[in-house]
Amino acid sequence: MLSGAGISKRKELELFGRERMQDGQEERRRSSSSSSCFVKPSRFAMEEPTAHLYVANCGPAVGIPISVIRDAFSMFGRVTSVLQPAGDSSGSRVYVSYVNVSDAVAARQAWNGRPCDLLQGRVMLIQHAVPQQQQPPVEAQVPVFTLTKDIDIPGLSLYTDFISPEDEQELLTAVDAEQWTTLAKRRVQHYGYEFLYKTRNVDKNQKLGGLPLSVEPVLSKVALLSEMTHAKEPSLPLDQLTVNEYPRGVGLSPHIDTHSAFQGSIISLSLAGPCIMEFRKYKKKTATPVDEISHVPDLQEMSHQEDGVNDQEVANLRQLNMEMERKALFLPQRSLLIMSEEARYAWHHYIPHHKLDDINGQIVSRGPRRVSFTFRKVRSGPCTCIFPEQCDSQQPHLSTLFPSNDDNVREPCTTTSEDAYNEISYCATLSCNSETENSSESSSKTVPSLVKPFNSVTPEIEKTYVHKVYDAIAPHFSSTRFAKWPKVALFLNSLEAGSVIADAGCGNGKYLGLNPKCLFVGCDISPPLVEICTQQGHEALVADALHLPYRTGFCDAAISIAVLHHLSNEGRRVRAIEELLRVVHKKGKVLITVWAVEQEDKKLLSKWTPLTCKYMDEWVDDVGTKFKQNLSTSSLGSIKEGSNEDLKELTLEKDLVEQQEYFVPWHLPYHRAEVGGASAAAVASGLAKKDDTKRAVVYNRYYHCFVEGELERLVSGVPGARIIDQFYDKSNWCVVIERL
Amino acid sequence: MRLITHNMLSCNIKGVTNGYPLGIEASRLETKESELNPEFLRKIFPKLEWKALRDAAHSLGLNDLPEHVEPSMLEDADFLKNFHHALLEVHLEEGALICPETGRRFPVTKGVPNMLLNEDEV
Repeated sequence: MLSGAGISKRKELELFGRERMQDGQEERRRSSSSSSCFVKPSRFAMEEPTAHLYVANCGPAVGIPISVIRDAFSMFGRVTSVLQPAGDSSGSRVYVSYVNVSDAVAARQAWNGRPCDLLQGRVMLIQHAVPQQQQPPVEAQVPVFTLTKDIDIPGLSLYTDFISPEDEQELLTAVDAEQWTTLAKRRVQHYGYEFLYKTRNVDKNQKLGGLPLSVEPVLSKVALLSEMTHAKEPSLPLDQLTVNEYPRGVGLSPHIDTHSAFQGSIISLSLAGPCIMEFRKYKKKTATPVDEISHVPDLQEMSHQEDGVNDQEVANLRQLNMEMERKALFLPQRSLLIMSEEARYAWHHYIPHHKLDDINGQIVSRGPRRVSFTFRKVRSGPCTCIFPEQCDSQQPHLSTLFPSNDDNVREPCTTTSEDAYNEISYCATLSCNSETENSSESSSKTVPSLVKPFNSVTPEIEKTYVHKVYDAIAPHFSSTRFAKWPKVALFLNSLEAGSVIADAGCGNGKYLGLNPKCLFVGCDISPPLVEICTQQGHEALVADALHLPYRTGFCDAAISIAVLHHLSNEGRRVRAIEELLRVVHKKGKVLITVWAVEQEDKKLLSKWTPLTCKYMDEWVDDVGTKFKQNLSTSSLGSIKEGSNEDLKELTLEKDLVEQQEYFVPWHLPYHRAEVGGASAAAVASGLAKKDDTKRAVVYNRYYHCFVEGELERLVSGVPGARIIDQFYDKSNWCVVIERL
Repeated sequence: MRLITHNMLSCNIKGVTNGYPLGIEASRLETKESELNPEFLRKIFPKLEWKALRDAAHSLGLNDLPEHVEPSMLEDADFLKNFHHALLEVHLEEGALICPETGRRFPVTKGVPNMLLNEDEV
């Protein structure tokens, strides 16, 4: 291989930069998970070689089983262990430990940053690591059990080889002859009752019919099991069946099946391939006062995640002073799993999104697909289990509301394990240069007028970084957006029966129909999102929130949820508020929510890209910024047309002021991006970037995040508006307005 | 799109003063049965522009709505049935909505009206 000194030097620097980002990421995770087994020495300290290596870009997730890694590294000397970092669900990093330091040095010298023939030509990034003394390395991985008697979760049973390969084939043939419904990542069939993902329940009044004849032999065999014959809560007759087909690498988000939906046991037959299922239980860490009940649903929220444990989840847990217990069970092909009592009611179950499972060192490949038959009994009456914190019957608000930060914290595909790469790609892509922001050049530039007049024509930044993006990500966005925010639900449920409600910027329509006694009409500027609404049976149309196509005063209420922050100047934000007020009658109510600069999770801001000066000047007025300035220096509401003098000052102090304009990434996984479709075009045109590491097309969405008091100020300036409530909740600023 | 929605839609092109009600060009209708809720009908009734609803229903071939209405009719089962059907059960799936002042066509496809305005219309 040719590698001039200059080139290799540059390469090293690139790797260096990337590694530094990973360091930061690793440290964060470490501090939150407290179960890591190694730390890397500081990048800038003189490195004292150790017998342990941190190896990035290598692991089960990239197709290299632990055993193969161990064999390869053994060519330099005796390897004592190959471990995956604690809390790292990416599966693409390992720690390799040698007996001798010299062997580790040799391995690093040979393979760091160079293609390794023994490992499929992969280029690994290798550093020395030091073991962390406090914790034993055993805690690093979730233990995987093969027998339920060892896993010690009450109510969990596993029967291996429950049916014969012939019977398995028969069942598969039978379901493949039927119609599959395609979900985001997997295909399903429902029998008996349809399982509704939106409510995570069944409609008990809509019986589809009996279970298929092909499963009769399975049902008779199940009926004889002691778990059924000696059940405290009857599961028989089983009357609901969901067949799931998981393609290789696809898992299942952590969740507990809705208590009020099903009673007794949940019984799942694994066919066509194996997988591991992880069980998670959350418990209070110490004897601190019990958290408010309203916090508990935060745990439910996790079931909407696309992947394992992430920073946000850890943060949530910490905030609630809770910790998580994790154990996994290997589900072989043709095995039958029964979850009853505590296992069913109190433990979240989760299938990691892996192609290979590490069963305590033995790598097991998932088949091309796994087909599970999940049998349940639809509940009659409320659930009276002894796990009220997870029970929607005993806490009714759990039943329909799965609160999230509404669009906010949860960027579903940011599967965080690889966020380090993420941040780098943005820095590189958008190259926001803070130097130019402070340079004399920019402060002496021609000064734009303070408040740009309302421009009714949509600015390019919104067309490119809002409309086009939502059009391109619509189905994926929608599949991640069914969590409803309790404050919005509260508002909608407070409205009188028969009210007409306009949802301006309704997205995938998750609030349409929330109050069944009211009539909802949604609109959104993104046709693909509106199509999703109508497919769900909602009334929705394509329209611009700045030009609502409704006659004045028709509606009883209007909502604008997570919309105004996509408008790129203040004139447009005010106009949107005016339109909401215009369409409601006198005494009609309007709810507006927007993202706050004051994010509860400060780390999120670091994942967003502050807008470059170029965008700021061309497309965005920065009145919000100046407003903040005014707040701190003079009285509120006195935003005067500034002299050049003032503006110079403002520009110079710009970086002292809160950043409000951001690009927020959306990761559209490759398997969700249509081949040759919108995403290919978006990548070709530079609208989106491919991130091969994360296997996602990355779009940026424009956001103007609101500072405290800003929304109130805008609303106060609109004639006929009276603020009747305002609050901050879950990183959003919100107001309820009445039209006078 | 149902006629209840049609009753609230208006053409808001800049400068248009008489953008209501929109005309309807129907190339495909669909009827989807829904539960009749007299209470809801009584609540919505005062908000509606009756003439707009009746004319719109008429243009879709629904001729059972009377020209003149009084609130007392809301106690009549037959009237409620026809009212409910026209307002909530008939969906315009394909066609267009026409601005009465400018003649601008807003297409309706797969049941979705596209009310976006062009840059020279705002």
